[in-house]
Amino acid sequence: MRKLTIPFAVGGALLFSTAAAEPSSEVAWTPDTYRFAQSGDAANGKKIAVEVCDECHGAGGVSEEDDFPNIAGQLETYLYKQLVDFKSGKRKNRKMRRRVKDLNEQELADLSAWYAQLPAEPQGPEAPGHELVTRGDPKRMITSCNACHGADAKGADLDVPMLKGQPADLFVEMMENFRDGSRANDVYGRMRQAAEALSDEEIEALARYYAGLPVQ
Amino acid sequence: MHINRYEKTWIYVTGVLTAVMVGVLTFYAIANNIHPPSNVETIDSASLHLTAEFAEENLGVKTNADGSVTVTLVGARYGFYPRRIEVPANTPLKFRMASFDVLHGVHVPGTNVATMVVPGYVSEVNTVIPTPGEYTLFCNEYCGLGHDQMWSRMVVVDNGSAPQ
Repeated sequence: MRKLTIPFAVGGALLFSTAAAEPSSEVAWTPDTYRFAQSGDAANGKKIAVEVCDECHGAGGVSEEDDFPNIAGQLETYLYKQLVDFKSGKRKNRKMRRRVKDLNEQELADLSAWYAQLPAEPQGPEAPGHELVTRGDPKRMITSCNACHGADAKGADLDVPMLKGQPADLFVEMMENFRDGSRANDVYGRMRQAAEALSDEEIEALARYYAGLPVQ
Repeated sequence: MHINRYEKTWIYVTGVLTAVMVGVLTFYAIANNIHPPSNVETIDSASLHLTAEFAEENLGVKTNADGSVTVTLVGARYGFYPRRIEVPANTPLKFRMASFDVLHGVHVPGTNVATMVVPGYVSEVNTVIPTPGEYTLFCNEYCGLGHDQMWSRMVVVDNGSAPQ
């Protein structure tokens, strides 16, 4: 029995290294993917949402519980990439994977179209902005949030999400996931690196700021 | 056609000056072996992360069998990834760089590393850096709102090898 331990350990290590060597996302933003991700049928998306998504994310894409992200008004292309990543396991989340694994890519695009056109809602009182939002901290290699997420935090093509309309606690959780690498579907680790450089206090301040931003 | 004497003189003066300047540039370009990076190699920037060479875990510094070093970098808004690299001094370095999104340029003050990183192409720069120290890789092609914050760090370490 003991003799078998080493081959198993080596085998395990090999398996792990192959798994780690995979790309952080299978989604490549070729013109075809871009067009496809924007071609969803919102009406069909609504039908799927009633059966699959509403229970957690709320009927209008705004969840009643703070544990689930609000996806109303989120960028269509971002939603599509996340759904594909959940399906392929690139973004690890058992609940999400179970729900999307039987949906095909067209259905994922339909869902993205449905949620993208719903109105988002602010999730907290207005909070003061932070220097990191507009200026970043070049010394720590932190690019300002606005540079990618836009001056109004609305998100930007192709897969940079809108930051408004999320509960502050959920924002903190997402940043922690990036920081410890449990969420690693950001290609080339651009968010992982930013999250690692931020302190807990800074993440907290950013979370409150974004939760309190008016959405319109 | 009549040309005024003074006008004629100035035409000659500018002609001679131009010839001298082109001559100086040509001389130093040839004498110091200065030439623009000339690698032409295409790649699909949209699926850069799915290629073997520019996959996330293959980026960075690798020592080749002959002792030279290959540095694989990706320019993506807003940084050159990996953000911090360490290379040996006095060693032939080959930088291979590609863009994940838009046009970038990489410029490393204090060295002769400067090239555009054009989406769809792999840029290549060969150099030797004699002086150990900390260097900065700046983006020098406007690439978006975070362009002024786009930089990465290169540490050149003295590995005891003789100047080349």
